Amino acid sequence: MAELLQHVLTGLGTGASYALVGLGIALIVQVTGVINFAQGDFVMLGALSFALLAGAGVHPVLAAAISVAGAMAVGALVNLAVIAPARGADHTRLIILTIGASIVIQGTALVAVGTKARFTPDFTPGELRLAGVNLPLQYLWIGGAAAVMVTGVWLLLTRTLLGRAMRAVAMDPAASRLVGISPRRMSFAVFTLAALLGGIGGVMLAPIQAPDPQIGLALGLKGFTAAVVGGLDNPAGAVAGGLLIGVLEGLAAGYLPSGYKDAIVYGLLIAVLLTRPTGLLRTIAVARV
Amino acid sequence: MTEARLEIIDLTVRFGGVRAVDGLSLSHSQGGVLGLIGPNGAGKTTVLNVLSGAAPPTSGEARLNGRRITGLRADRIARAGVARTFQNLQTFHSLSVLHNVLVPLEARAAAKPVVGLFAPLLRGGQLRQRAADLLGRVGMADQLDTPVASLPYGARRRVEVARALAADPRLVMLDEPLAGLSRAESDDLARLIRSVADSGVTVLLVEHDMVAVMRISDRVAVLEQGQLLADGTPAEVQADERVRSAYLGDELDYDPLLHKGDKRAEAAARQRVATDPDAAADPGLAADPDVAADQEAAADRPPQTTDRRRREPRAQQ
Amino acid sequence: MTADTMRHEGRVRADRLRATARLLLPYAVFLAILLLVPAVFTRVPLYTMGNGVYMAILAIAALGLVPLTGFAGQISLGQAAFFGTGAYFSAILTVKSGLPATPAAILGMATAGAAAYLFGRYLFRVSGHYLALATLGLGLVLTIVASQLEITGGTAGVVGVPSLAPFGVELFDDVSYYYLVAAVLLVAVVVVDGLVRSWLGRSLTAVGDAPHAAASSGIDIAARKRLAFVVAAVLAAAAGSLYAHWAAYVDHHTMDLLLSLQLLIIATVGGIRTVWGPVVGAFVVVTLLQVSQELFPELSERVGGQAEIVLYGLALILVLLFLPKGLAGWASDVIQRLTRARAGADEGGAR
Repeated sequence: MAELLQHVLTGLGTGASYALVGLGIALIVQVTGVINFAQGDFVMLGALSFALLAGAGVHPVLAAAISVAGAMAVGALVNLAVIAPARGADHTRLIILTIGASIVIQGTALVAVGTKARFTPDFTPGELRLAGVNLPLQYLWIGGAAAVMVTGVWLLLTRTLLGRAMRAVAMDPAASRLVGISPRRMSFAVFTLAALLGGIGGVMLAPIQAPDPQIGLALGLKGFTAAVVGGLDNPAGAVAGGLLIGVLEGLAAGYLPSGYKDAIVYGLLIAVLLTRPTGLLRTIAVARV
Repeated sequence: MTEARLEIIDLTVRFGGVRAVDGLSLSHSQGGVLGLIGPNGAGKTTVLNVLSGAAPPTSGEARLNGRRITGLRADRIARAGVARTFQNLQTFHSLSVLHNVLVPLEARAAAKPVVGLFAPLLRGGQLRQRAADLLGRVGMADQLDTPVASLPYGARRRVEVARALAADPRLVMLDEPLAGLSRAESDDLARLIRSVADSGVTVLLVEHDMVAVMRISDRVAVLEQGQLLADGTPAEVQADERVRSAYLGDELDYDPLLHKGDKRAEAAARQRVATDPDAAADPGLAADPDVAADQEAAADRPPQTTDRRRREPRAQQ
Repeated sequence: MTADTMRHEGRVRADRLRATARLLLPYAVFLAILLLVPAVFTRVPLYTMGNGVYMAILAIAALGLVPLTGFAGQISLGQAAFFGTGAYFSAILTVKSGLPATPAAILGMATAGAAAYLFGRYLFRVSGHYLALATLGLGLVLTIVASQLEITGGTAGVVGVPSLAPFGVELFDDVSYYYLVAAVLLVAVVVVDGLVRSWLGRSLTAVGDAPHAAASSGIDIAARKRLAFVVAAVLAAAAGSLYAHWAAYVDHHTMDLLLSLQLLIIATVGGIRTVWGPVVGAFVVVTLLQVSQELFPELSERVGGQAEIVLYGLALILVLLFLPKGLAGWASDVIQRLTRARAGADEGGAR
């Protein structure tokens, strides 16, 4: 029982970081209609630069701030240099462009720092002991950060002008343009926001998943799975989906031979896409009428 | 050809908390043009989307000649004899004019079970001829090989109408076909719509251009907030107090040719009033809204309007 | 018969001749290039005959993306899953079951096609870009499974795949193997070109251009996309089989996401709406690979042979931003403009 609880709790911890990735993907899909394949690379950038900076002796808080800012800058750059110039491009072309961006980010990181994984200590050493469970405090950090960010995004979307403008573009780009909201500016804002979420997820994840330039792909895929499980057009669902995947992965790691952990998650992605497409995804199909 | 029998039974479509269509029942079996009007957001396009299979109904159903079409896939509904055009113009932009019309013809030919995939190959010449004929009917005969993307707006509308007619439909649904067209283009298309109806195809016309709707339609149904407000001949509907207070009167305070939010059409309408003496004489376009309302209330269309409706379609055939 | 009508008939005949020539000329040029490749690649630096074989295999595998992604607008990141299916079928059936190469390859293609059909039955019920994600998941799951199962040889893969000997001629080196692969490529190009020029290609275009209007025109969108998906899968499997016999061994990397990405890049950079796109794209991508290995050998080594993906990514972004139709699409636009300008000049001269 304690073992089960242990797997569930650590799963929830990693799941919280997937939730942030999935939230970023869902937001971009909502506002731009594009699936952003570079989302995992924003996480990788946050994690890798944090690990490198902290490893070089920079104060962790400063290292975290620089890493998150760096990820945001890259997110903004992806929008400005790759998405915005492709005027009049259909979604297919834009999605392939994000794939290109992902490859360039990953490749540049590879060339810059090599393939080696970078280890970094937990923010605060120690474990939480409760009912026979030993939970490293880092997992609480991740959970806390994710909770703060999700609340922040929710407040942004519901309470601020920027958030309402984003939701308006998501609902009807043509009508939004008529009332003076620029879909291009909203696209820029949402890419930057998604990169912020990814960057923070990456910083939080760095101590428990020693990052290298190639982790972006796997993390991005977990974010996609989270977003798809929750319904791609539903930010709250993406958060729930991320937690679910984390738990599933925690259980798979605990009870199944290694190597199948990832297969379970990707299998879930396929299963949801194949069996529940109308239930989970219908709203978006209708929205495109 | 027997007339299409369309029955809409207690149809409701909800988007979230909004009832776009709310318990609508409507039958039509006398052919001709059925105008569907109503203020913005009354649910007109939603009705079209449900009837063409682009959106699922929340409850209720629609039947064509007794056969249930709600819940069928869009292509099955098309094969059952329902064709449509789109408010926001959906031509196949990377194909030529001829190929745009060829697509539904080929899809129809390929639907035959035995010859199946090869039918469009074997009957290629025949289908091309049919597509060319249809395009001739909408006045596009001399631009068959033009890429549709390079055509002006009005011409693309006509291609879309030809495409809708290509599948030999029994019911054609046109979603604001006249929006954004010039006066001359609009008159031409209105004539074409009339001739389609006179050839035995039932036309369901959603249109903001009140004057045109009243002129072309044999029957007009008025929607408000997803419900049927009134229904009858154009004269009856225009005389209906509820319609006048809820919709027409309101619209006529402005200008019935104005399309809310459609700046091009607004500008075009204004220019027409300014430059065209006939347009100014037209009741719907009178500069003084009170005069216009009075004339509409008399429900007596000026002679040249009646004339246009009754004769010109035949003259074109 | 008057002189006028005679002149008219002559012009019609000339027009028809010109149209046929316009259709066949690209094929003639392509055939000439295919035949020249061995002479050139064995003599110039940078290229080897193996590059030629690899280019042709990649082009065959990427060709299926033209109808699927280019025309129907559906991105697939699962081409490698079908490539790997073909490769594993050929390898396992010839090495472990002793089957001749041809039936093994045909079984692999049939299995890939059937899998694509079944997968597509469920997948294409919704609109949107979920196929991209689902095919991505499919490729990853199959990669993991292939690296775990016993029959696929785990991470070691299947070794000792025999070389081919069509009509009793053993293809023992890259040059002779190249002719086989080039012949398959030529056939594949003709088949796909025929498909996209036919009414089926037109209906795929309609689906990609305006899905709602296509459905309202009586097109079963799911069935059309499924057809394109099956064609893409069969072509990828054929390429996989050719790869297995050429490389002589197959492991889970044949299903790798990197290959799926590479194929999408090849088709997009070359031009995803023309059959010449994948051919041009394969040439460009393999050239980039050679150049980066030539120019930065130490870098390539340090990052595990992955440095060239930066070049791929940059090429992809630049082409999509500045030549959205791809290199081949851009070239055909230029040629068209030139011929039209010349025709205009001719007419002016005649007058």
